[in-house]
Amino acid sequence: MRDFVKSYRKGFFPVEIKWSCRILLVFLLIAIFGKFIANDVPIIGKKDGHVCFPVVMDIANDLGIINWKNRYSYNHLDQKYDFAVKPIIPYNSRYMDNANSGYVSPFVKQEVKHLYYRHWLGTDGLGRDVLAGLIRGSWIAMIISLFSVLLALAIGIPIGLLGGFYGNKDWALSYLEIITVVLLAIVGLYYSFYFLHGRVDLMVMILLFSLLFWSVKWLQSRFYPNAKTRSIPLDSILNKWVEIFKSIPTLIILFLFLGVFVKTGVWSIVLIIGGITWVRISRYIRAETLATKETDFIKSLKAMGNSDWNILVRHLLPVVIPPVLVSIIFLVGSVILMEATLSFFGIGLSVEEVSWGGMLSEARKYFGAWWLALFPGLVLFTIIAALGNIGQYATKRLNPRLQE
Amino acid sequence: MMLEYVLKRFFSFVPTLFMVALILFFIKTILPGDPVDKMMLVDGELDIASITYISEYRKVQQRLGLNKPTFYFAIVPRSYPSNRWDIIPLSSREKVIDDYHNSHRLEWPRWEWNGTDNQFHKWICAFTKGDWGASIIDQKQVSSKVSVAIKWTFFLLLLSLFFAIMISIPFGFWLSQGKSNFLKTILEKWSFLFFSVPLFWLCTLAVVFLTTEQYGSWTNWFPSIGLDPTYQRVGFWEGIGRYGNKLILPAICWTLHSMAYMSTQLKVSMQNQLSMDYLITAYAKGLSITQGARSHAFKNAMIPMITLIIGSIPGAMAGSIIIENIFNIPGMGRLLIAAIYQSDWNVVMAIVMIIAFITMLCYLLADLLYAYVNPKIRWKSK
Repeated sequence: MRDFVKSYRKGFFPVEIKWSCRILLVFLLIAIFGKFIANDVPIIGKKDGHVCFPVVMDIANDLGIINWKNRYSYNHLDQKYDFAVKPIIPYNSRYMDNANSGYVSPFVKQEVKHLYYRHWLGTDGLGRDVLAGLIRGSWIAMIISLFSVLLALAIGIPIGLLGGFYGNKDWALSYLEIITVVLLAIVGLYYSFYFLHGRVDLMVMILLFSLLFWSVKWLQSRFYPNAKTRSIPLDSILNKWVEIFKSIPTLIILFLFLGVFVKTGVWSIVLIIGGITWVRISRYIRAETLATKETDFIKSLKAMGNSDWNILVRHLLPVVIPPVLVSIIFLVGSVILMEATLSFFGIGLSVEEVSWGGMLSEARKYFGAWWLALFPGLVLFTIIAALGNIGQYATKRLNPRLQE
Repeated sequence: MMLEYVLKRFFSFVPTLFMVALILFFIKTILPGDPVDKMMLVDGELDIASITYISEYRKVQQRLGLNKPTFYFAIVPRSYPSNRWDIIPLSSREKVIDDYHNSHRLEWPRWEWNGTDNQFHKWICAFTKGDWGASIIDQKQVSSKVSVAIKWTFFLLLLSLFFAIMISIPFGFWLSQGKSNFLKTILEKWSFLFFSVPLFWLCTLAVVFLTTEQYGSWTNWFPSIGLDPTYQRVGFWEGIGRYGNKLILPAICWTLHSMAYMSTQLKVSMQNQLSMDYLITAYAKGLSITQGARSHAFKNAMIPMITLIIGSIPGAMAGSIIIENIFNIPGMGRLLIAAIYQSDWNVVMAIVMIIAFITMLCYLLADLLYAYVNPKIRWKSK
């Protein structure tokens, strides 16, 4: 990271890359501090002698820490404060301005008291401010892309590593262990399908089951050390699974999973996008691991008697990750695009939640609203182009091998 | 050798398709909503208050085959019904299941073996025989619905692919030739822009700005979007003749989008070839620069392009969802989305299986063509 900043300062990067980095930084800042930039409640307000921080309360309300009654059904704009520091844009993404509802263009005269209350990028059919929606949309895009990619990494890296390292022959289990794994899998599926209540249960279950498995393994090594083993074709299983995912376009899988469920939200989108895109990560990781496995330093580590776990985590992982970083950049771009496409078709996010794709689809309802067709798409396009630019440049610089 | 390879690959389709079918069927069984109820709603027989409701429900259920167990075997809790659709009071079904899930008690499982008399077996046997069932919405045969839709999709897809290839290959070739000048730099930047423009935004912009008179009559270049339903009554080619003008704008959008990618890739691949040693030898033997580029480098540069063009067809199937829904073209993408919204699972499963099959076929074709044009690759039977 320090190298990156240093080379950035020295003017090592071309102009486009500098601008792409700046755009991404601005996007991140806006996404993180969006509530402080566009909100219908003041940042600091003084009322009846005591000071309050309504925006902080709003964030806490979103996180579920406090319960703010009538947050979205009550008009907070008309509240009188003795003293208030207000955000730059006085609208929340959900705030419906009844005086300016029904697609008000940014250039026409708007029904506002003061220039400060003007909708600079117009409003949509319900009177929601487009600029505030864009800012909220950047938060949604950031959250979804960040967590989906993290999930994809969390699933894809171990599976790719194991598949590449053990191949089809090197991972052997005794019959007792195979039977234990199969039984635990059946019991786990049964339990999680019918009796699971939330994430804590899942964690406890996974912990318990791995404990059971290791204890079986330990008992076996204690009492019956020369058990007959059978190799597990890990790599073939992985390849087959990848092939299934590859045979249906990602967008269609997303539509299938999210389109049929009534109750969806940000986290189910994250879960399903992450659950699909890990395949891409694991493919790269597997290829890298296969190449690195044959190098002399891994062989000598094995000869020195390092355990597999040690080699995998401490020596192979740091070598394998950097070439994959570029594909992560591309993955972030495509996840943002996927989310936008989903909400463009009204699938996934709940109706109240504002996102770029959802705003774009408003333009289809009323063709006169050019600002709804233009601005959200422009923001989306800018982010994706910046990411693509950086990704292409990084491919060229870091790893000429990956270039096809 | 080659035949063996092709056959081997072809047979490897079967387990993958089976897994896809299994996953689809799994989603179908766990999702909320009741096909029987939907069917009765369509038939106009829905009246929960009436006495005959349950018997009517049973009748429709039997007709759809939903009274049978779902899969070959089942491992369910003791007091759980083996078939969700058996909990008849429809209004309380979700509640019963929710209550069941929320009751914090563990139960021993019950093992059920259902044999071949189950929904999945029935469905997959009928599917392989070509009987894809009827759509819940309008009782039409799925195969007839899909065969109409697939023609529209492929007509549009092949049209835009044709134009994209025809434009991008000379364009990419020209970009790679000679020194870069102002025009080339500008065009390259533009093609990068078109490559990263989201397809649905491009289409929305085209629809908003080019098909309406909202912004003055001069912006109304193209006919307004959407086919009226009479296309169903005329044949496909007559339909093309009648509504062909509505396909121009989607074809342009699609062409622009895929053209940008293809021309950039061709340029990169040409540049790789131009820096190879064999061209230096060719130049040393007296070939002119254009000759070398045209007759030697271009042929080799086209090898990765073949994989790229055929490999782009599966992606285009996903793109067809976007294009067809925005421009209202009665193709597979629109049919699929409509079927997903209405949980019309016979249609969904048929379309997804077709798409999976086409995708795998495309990958096979790409591999074969790649090996055909590149003799360095040998046929491996292993």
